[in-house]
Amino acid sequence: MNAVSEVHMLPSVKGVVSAALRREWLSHRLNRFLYAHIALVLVIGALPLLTPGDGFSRGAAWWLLHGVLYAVSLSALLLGLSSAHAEAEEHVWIMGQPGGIGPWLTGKAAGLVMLTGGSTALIGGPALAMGGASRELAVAMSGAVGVAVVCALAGFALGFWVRDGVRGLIAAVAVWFAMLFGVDLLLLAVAGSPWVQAHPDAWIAVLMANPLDAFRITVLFSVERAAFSGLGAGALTNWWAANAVGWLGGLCLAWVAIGGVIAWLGLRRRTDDL
Amino acid sequence: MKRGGAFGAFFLSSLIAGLAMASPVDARLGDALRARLAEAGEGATVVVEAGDYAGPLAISKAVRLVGRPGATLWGDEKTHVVTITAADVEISGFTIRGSGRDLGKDQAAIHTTGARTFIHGNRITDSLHGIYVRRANDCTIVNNIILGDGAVAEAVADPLSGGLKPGESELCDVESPQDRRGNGIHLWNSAGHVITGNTIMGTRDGIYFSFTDGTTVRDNTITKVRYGLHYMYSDENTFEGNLFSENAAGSALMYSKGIVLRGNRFVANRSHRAYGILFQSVDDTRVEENLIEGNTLGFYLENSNNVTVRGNRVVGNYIGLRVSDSTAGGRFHENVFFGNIHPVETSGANQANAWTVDGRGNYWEGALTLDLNRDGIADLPHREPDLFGGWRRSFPAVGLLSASPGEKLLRLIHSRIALPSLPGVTDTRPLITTRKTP
Repeated sequence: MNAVSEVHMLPSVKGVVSAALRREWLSHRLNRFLYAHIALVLVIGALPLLTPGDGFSRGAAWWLLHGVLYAVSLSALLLGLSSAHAEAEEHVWIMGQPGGIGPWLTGKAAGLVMLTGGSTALIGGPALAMGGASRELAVAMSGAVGVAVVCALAGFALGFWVRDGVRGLIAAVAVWFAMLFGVDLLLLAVAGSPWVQAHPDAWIAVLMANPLDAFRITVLFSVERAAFSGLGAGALTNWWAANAVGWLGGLCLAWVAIGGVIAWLGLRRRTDDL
Repeated sequence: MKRGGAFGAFFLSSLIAGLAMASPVDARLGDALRARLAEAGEGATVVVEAGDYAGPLAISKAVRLVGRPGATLWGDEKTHVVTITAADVEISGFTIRGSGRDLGKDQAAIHTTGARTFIHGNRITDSLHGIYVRRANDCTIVNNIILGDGAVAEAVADPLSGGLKPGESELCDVESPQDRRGNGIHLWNSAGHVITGNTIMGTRDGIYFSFTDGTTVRDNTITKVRYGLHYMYSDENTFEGNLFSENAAGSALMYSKGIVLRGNRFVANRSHRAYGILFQSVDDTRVEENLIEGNTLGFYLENSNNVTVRGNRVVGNYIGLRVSDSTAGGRFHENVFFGNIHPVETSGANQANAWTVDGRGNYWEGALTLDLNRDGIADLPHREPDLFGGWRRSFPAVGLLSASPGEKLLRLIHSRIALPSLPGVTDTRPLITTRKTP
């Protein structure tokens, strides 16, 4: 066998990506976390039905905001973690394949993103079915999908750095607490600092970078339409208020990319350790 | 060629607009009406049939001027359309349009210096001020519709769709298109009026009070103006059952005392630094049973003393209530605070005001409602902390942490642990239900 024929025997990148994606789909069909996530999403999606009368469509976005912040985000994080841990026993074998870890990881991450995003999109289903379609609901639904995908990729990346199941679970919950409460508390703690008060844009940039805060602010701007007192805080705040939806979309894409890179680094580190 | 076409189209459209705005009236009808008014005796009734009558009109004797449906008085766009200088004049049923636009001369559709003027059932458009009352007491202004230039073309800007212009809605500090309009009803240096059932939209301010006392304002609807109520140096007035909604800055009451605000709705005043109600140096006043909903800042009290705030629903505002340290002797009880992003903003412990009166406090969303004896009053005090306090002014960006999980967590902790250094209010007898109890 000559070198040319050996090259032809290597699987194409597209083939590896596609195979990994299909395998991810198959894996999740057997994974209880996906079903738990879908059930949770549907329950939260049904919560707006508790809002009577004229406030239904406006209330729907509020329900979804809180459901995503306090439940769906953690569920998606655990979904990503379980995805990363799913092939732990076959890891060595998979890493030894000639296709390389990049295409395999890309396919697996793409499968996770599609499954998480698709299942989370069901969150708006009950409200839509009850005639609650509105711009606010669309913003909340899209944001929910984006945030869930980011959280799933965060869990995914974490799973390749922390391979032990129990430690991974503890780390995932810690990351979730940091995203949900930690950033807010940190920002509140430093809000009185003279340097921070002299450089509000730096403080706001940290808030903008947290997907959960970005989602919350976007829904508040979009649903409440109230000019926050913070709108007098400078050009960056004003820009954010005027472009909140676009920023949230871009931020989610950026975090997905960053999550992918961190996952790849974690996976490669494992390979190097072997 | 294109430029010439565009210029032609512009010229033609301007000509059409000018023709549309111009008075379609035959001057002879106006002359005939002036002649009838001159001939009428004191107390006479002058009925005006449908038609377009060229103004301006001056009424200097006590007559009843009654317009039949379709009767329109057209101003000359240089002065008031109708000038009333006599007492006991009645004017009703007209469409009145086309006053002058000189703010310095206070030009208006109806300008009265006559006591006991009765103005009812008129429709006023295309004018600077709608109704201007100057040094005339005991006027009655009922069921008029007053539409300013902004009533059709300009709604209050939405922060999202219109872009944000911080400062635009500050108290009279930046000129905007609204500042070049007149007010719906302008009252100056007078007393004893009754103003009921009017609809005012798209003017600069809805009702403007200055040095005007002893007036009742009831069941009016004021929307899409700058200040629904712009009010200074006016005492002992009563406002009941009015709707102030979608105004750029809400309602501002300053330097006055003895006011009663009862059963009004201050709703959706949402622009940057808008208020549902602003009190600046307002004393000895009762604010009862009002709905304050969906405003950027629901109710702001600054340097106001002995104000009773009872039975109001403060709902769904960004900040429900802001009470400055300079406000003292306030009695806040039986109010409902629900769905506000910040229920109360204060910069200190606010011990100069009472949050429980006669054993009854307020309903606070999310308060611990332990009520073992089932008397409708919680057995534990409720502390409503304000985590941001004065930072909202020194570091306004902190407002972006509103309703965040971190802020909610800290509020939950601080509501149970009274830290003396933390601004906030303490309600010793919070209510456990939003329902009224006898």
